[in-house]
Amino acid sequence: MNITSEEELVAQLRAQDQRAITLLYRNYSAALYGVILRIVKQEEVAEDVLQESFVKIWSAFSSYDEQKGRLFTWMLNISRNLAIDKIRSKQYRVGSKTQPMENTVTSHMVSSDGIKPDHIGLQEMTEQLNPDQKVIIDLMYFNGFTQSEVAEELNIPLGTVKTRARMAIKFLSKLIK
Amino acid sequence: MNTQEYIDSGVLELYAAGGLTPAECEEVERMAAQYPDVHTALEECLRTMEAYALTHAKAPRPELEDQILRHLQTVSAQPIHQTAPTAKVVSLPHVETVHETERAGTAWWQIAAVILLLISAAANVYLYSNLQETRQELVSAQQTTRQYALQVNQLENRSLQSESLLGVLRNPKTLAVKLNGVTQHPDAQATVFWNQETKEVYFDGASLPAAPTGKQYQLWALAQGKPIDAGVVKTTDSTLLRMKSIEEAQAFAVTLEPEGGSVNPTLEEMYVMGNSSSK
Repeated sequence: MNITSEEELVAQLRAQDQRAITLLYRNYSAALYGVILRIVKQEEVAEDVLQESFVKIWSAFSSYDEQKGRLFTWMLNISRNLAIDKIRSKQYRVGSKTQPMENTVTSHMVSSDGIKPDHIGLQEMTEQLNPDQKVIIDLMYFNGFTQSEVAEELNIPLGTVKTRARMAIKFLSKLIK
Repeated sequence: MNTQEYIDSGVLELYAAGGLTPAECEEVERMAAQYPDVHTALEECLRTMEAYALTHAKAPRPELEDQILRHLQTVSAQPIHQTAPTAKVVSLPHVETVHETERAGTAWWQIAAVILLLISAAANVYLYSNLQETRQELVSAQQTTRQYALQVNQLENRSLQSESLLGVLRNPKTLAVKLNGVTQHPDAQATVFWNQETKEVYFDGASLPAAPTGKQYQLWALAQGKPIDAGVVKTTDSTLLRMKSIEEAQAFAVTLEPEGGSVNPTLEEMYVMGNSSSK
């Protein structure tokens, strides 16, 4: 039942087939939850954001365009954006005042932050990623920084941000092949 | 347009990692739509970031599935059509969609109800058989307890008996009379314990041969040359038997008699005899 291709799932979702929700949840909840948790750091908040994500995925599905990208990327972006909005919201900042702020450079150098991925092998391999390159990807992907914000944060030229991002993804791309 | 230069710039990677502003994103999407090699390179970057995201995968609490799916049910009861189609053309399909959603919702609840009912029925059967089993176990446990109580009672009685017998034997007034086998039965032996004060007589016939069926040993006291019935020996196992009290006796003897005993001893069937050389 879990083995449903993305195309089939998209077709079912378009037809507003209720069964598709369950499939969608079973296929993607762990992936989305992992990324959300990585961003918001607190399980309770991550659960809320996961629910908001599925609501948005379900209700805004008609705006999904297969031509622009895959379903998984689209869902990841919805979840990421909701999670990043959450950590930027005033309420969240007040609520987590006692928590150490995580968006400093050093905290990103430390890559093991208690999240246990299902894909241990790949996770370990990504450890081989050059820390200077990894931090750029992570700041953008998990903290929602733009390239210029990254440059500012790390005090490096914009061109370096681009080069390192490219090298990082090239390296990762080789790993997954 | 040199697409390779564009690809090499790293902008596609920034797009995939989410480091571009919305305006910059649109530019990348436009390029990808226009140039197939840009599209391919971008696709590659996006897949890589998907894989990277997956390395962080973590299953949420299992309870969350139900909660979120139920929440989605309530959301989809009033479907949000973000790209509202022009009213005239799609009004009919739209209505149908709503109906379908409702029907699907009903079916979902019906299935859930049936499943719950089945689970509940199965649980009832299981629990009922458990109950029966437990009841049977209780009954047998009660029986066992009763048996134990009975055994304890018996043991208590036997222990009391032994104690009182021991008292008899230890009593200095008790005379132990050894009865030896007569010529015909040289191996037979028995002992009579006779309390001189209370006149109680106890008999130990453990060393007598087993009485043949239909026959029983009988103890006699001989007083002034006359045999006095001292009772039938019920068993010849190791227990001491309480016999009839005897006032006076110069000797004790045991004969084999028909079951139930005789009024007078059958002297030919005498097994053991001994003198009570007292008084």
